[in-house]
Amino acid sequence: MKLNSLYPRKTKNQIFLLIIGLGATTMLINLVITFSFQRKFIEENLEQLLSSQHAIVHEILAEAFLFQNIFTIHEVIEAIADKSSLILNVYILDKDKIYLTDALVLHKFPYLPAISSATTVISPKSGIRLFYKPIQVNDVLLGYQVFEIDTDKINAQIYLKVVRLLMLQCLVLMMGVVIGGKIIFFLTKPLETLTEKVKETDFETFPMEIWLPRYAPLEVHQLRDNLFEMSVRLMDSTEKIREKEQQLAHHENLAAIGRMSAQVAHELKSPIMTIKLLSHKINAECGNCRFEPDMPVIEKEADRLAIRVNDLLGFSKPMELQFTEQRLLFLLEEVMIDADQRYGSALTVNVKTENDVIFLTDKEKLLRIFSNLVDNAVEAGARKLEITTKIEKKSMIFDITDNGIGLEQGIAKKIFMPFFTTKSKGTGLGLSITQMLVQAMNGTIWTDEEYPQGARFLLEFKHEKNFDYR
Amino acid sequence: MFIVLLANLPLRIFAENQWIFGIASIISPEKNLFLYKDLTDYLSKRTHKEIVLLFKREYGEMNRLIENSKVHFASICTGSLLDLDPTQIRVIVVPEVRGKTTYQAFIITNNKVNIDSIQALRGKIFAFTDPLSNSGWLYSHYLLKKNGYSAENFFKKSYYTYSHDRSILLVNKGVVEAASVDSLVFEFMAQETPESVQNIKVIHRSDEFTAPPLVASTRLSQEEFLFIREIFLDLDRTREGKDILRKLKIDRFRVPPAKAFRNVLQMKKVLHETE
Repeated sequence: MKLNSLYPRKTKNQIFLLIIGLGATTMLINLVITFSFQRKFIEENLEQLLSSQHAIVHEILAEAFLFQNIFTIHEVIEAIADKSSLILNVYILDKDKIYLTDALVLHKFPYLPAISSATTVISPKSGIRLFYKPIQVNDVLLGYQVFEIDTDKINAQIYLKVVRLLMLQCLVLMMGVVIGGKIIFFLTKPLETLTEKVKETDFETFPMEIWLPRYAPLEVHQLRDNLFEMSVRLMDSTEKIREKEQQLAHHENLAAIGRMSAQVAHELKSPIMTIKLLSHKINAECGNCRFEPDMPVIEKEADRLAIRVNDLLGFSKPMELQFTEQRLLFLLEEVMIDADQRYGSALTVNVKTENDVIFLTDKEKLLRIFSNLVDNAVEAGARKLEITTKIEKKSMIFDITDNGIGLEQGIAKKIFMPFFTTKSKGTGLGLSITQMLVQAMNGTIWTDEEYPQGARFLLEFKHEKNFDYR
Repeated sequence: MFIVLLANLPLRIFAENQWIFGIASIISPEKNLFLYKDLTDYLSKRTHKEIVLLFKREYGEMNRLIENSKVHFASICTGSLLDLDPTQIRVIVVPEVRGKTTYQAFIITNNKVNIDSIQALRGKIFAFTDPLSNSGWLYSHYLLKKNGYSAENFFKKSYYTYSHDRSILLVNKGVVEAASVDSLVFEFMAQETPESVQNIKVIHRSDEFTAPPLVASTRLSQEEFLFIREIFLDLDRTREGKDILRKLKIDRFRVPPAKAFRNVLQMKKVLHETE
């Protein structure tokens, strides 16, 4: 567990650890191999080296031995001992292994002479090896050249070399760690940037657009792209869910209002009918009585109540759609005729359309939508209303503008709420019912708050197929 | 111009427009060479002859060459002079060094060994130079004899180095414990390379002997003998000659007095009497 807690979690630190681990391991292996190789090499080649040395000077030594030329003998062995740091001393013994001279002029041979004819002897002194090389002429033994080698010194030299190599390698490792660290930082920066940006991101900042440097690894770029796509889809899904929730809430509200409206309408229907019947009866039996002028008023008010009750019933009635093929121009003509019949010269309705198409729609509902919008314009004081139709691919857009008082700032979303009104008269259900009808036909209605000259409503209906331009 | 023949090369017979100048190695040939180059060039110029140097390590070898007239004149050791037939040689000149035409035999030892008398040399390792050398052999044998010893079984071991400088170097290094050497060579080395004698002490100095001579063989006519003598005697009177003498650490050359080598001869007699 404790070891696990020491293990670094960050990629950068893991790579650091990897570099250090690999470097240290390589270094250790290298040192062990170097040490072993050096030792083996020296041991194997020492015998050869000394044999070569002996062979080079053998003739000179042999002649000097024959002529008792102590000067030459000493000069030769002194030169050999000086040349190599591995050779501690070189002794010259006679054929009976009695000491004659040595390179360091010790005046003695400090070891027991080798009993056997072995050329290599390990002396009782630790770390000393003696190599006996015979000096002879024509197989006649004259004496011995004895090389004294301090193997401890050899090992010490090897250790020193290894230590130097270790220091050099530590330096190289440190440089590697520093350079590696820089590179790691450079390479992991994109991932860290990505991590930080993801942490900072919330729904408000969707979609998640994160900038990465070009050198960032391909996988990191792909991760960034995937995160972006996910955020876009998440944003869309969340938006849709929100809309659905709003719609659901709206529908539930509308359903509740519908139920309430139905209840109220039902409660009011009978009394209104009674008032109408009785007023009609009184009017019929009264003749010229003093209440005769008031009867028409009572009837008119009763009618007005009936209209309002019908409005309430219309809100609560379930929507049944009937889609049929309709010609656009004919439909727009009917709107104009209906407006003219109801409002005459009080309202001028203009229609503009680039195309005449045949499309699928519920004619009765669509005419009712336009009728409600015309009523709304008139109630807002409009004297002119213009309907412009635009066909875009599979969408039909109706742009309805009037020159009424327009809409107040900030109420664009509220105007479609049931019972919301800025007028002194009316139930406030007209636009709400209009929206219900549009949505039931898979359309969208919205308003342009910035329209300066009155009110502007836009309707969009999507068509499954391309429009028929017959 | 001069041509140098080293000791081991076969001897050539030169025409008489060449004179062969023999050098018996008092010091090592490699140290001799540069010293004698200028001298031989000068001699060539004066004699109008080509002077050929011939080195021999052993005095006996040089003596044979002199006796056989293989050399015209030669520089030899005082001791080897006595080995020559006096009728076959004529002494040309002897060198004068620091105002003297004499030298001594030094018995030298290494500082680290506890030897301060002749008696203390017993059982030590000793270096002689050449069996014909006065300072390098004869005197030390005579000295031991005088003290009642015999050189044959006095030392633990003895060697022949065939040059005084090598004996000095061996004692300095301690390879041998003592040696008998020429004072002129010792002083020359002490002056030129002090480190080569820094471990040496002189435990005994002999009486004065006449300096190693230059001798002429019978190959030189009397006229030529006198001529070459004149050239050597004249050396210190010319600028070029003075330069040569300065290099050789010699003041001048002098004609030795009669019976100059008598004391050496007497030592030899004493030694041979008991043999």
